[in-house]
Amino acid sequence: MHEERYINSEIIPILEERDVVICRQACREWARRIGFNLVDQTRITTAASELARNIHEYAGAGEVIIQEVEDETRRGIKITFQDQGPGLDDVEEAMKEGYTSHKGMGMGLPGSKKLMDEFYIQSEPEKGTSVTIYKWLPI
Amino acid sequence: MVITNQLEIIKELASIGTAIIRERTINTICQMVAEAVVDHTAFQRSVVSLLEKDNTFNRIGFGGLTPEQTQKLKKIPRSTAEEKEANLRDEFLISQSYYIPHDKTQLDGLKSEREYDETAEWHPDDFLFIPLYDPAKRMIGMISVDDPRDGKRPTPISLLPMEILANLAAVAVENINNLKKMEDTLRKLREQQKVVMELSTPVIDIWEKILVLPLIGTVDSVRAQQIMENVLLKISATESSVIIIDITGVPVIDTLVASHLIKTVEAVRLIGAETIITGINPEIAQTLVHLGVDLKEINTKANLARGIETALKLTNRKVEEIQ
Amino acid sequence: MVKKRPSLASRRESVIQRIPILKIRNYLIIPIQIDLDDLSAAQLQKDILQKIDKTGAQGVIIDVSVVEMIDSYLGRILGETARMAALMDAKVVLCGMQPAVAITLVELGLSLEGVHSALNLEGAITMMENILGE
Ligand SMILES: Nc1ncnc2c1ncn2[C@@H]1O[C@H](COP(=O)(O)OP(=O)(O)OP(=O)(O)O)[C@@H](O)[C@H]1O
Ligand SMILES: [Mg+2]
Repeated sequence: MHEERYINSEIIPILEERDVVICRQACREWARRIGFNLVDQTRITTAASELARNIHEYAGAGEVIIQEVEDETRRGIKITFQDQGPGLDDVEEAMKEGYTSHKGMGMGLPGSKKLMDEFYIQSEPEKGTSVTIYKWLPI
Repeated sequence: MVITNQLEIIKELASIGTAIIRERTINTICQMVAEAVVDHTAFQRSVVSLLEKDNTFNRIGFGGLTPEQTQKLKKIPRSTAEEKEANLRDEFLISQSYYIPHDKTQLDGLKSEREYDETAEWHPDDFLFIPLYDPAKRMIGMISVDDPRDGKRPTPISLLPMEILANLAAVAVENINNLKKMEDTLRKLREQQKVVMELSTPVIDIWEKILVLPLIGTVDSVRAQQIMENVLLKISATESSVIIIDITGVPVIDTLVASHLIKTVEAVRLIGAETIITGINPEIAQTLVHLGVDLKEINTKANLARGIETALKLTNRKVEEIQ
Repeated sequence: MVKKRPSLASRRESVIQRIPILKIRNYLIIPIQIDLDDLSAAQLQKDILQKIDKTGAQGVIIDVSVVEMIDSYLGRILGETARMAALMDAKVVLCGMQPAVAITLVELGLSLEGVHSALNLEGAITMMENILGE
């Protein structure tokens, strides 16, 4: 991966329903401040909403770290969603469009991947899940 | 003894130098240099200034000064390059620095608040400047220092650490300036690219509530995404109800572009307007069907004229021939 | 710099937010003016269906012009509501969706099939009168 520098960050706990809204609003605010246009702000906010909801829904609690990030050539936003919940048995399966263990649409993980420039997921059953997404300002 | 001491200092300066060169803002660089002078040389006060575009020396880094002294100093009008040059005469040159005794100059500085020590060689109103040069040997700034702990006048040896610092600072500043220039060029390039991009997806307002986008040339996924954004923003800004996308000028389409096209149609529908696609050539028709792209949801017309006819109908208007 | 939001203990309990539902002639107008959490969105669905049942409304206009994002959950709620309302013989028209929201929605993979859309409230009312007038 690239060498990164973090300019600023914020941590948002996800403990209840309302925190999903607080988290996505914070992400929009960060995206706006970093300089993303309205469409990118909306992409970022929507991806954040999906992933924060997954924490609330499947792990019960966790936290979201929003960071303004830069490497040698680009500046952007990095958001990490982490929990110590049940984790995923089969990450590959969960990334498939339409896969849901509950009665969702199975849109959250694959959808937020499509909205962002980079998407990384790590998960271990019984240990928890961590999803990291990036969006870079257009060059 | 003296020499080993100097060596130690130079070693320390080298490590400070590495830190300075890594720094990314000019202000921090100047501040680090000013502090390094006070910490590692005989001089207890230092100011680092850079030559600005308006040809004045801007004081940026301050070492060994109280906040009040710094404020006071900032209020003194900046000296110009010409004023400085008039004073930087060869007769004052020691090594690469200029030592100007108090009785030989009209330069204004911060008055030393120290008692004047009759026995010392250094007079509180003496000036010592260590210039910063760019690779073309043009002066880009300077370090000015005062109040030597030993009360001595500078010598080539005692000046050495400061001159090393000055050279390092010059390199660091130069690096940042080059970086800025590169970024500026890059930004300009990007702006030009944006203009080209917009020109290549011109959404035309042909009639009240009807827009036309004549696509010409190959469409890649970056341009396809740009098209989607332009189309939607234009519809929303003009409150149009129909957009005709004419692809007569597009030779080929791949899956990715086809799927972008369909997304555009869907997004247009979501904001409350309709898309008509015209000018699908045989190759594209074949590709779309072979790719399994579902076009039944999409309103297609053979050519732009028929597309416009349909658009007028959709907006409750029609074209009639005048006899 | 790392800011940490105040811990939850100091925040109030989650409350379901209710959206007002207006009735004009034989249809309903629902302006969504707030950023809905999931519980409030689910509640809105219930409220709309109940209101259709109580008033016999034949149409529903949902004004989303100030909604800044529609994710899979809210998208699903809107799509479902339209299908459920259809089963109760009421048509749903969405209006005012922002371009950025529409783009994101289709990129996410949702297209709210079966839902009618209008550019703005005025257009939605005209559309509704047309649909109901037939
Ligand atoms: N943080 C998590 N911890 C444990 N399991 C998770 C987590 N996030 C997702 N999953 C699992 O991955 C599956 C797919 O998630 P995804 O968000 O794509 O769809 P969904 O939540 O089921 O439906 P939708 O998001 O469309 O409402 C989930 O059903 C769940 O089983
Ligand atoms: Mg989900």
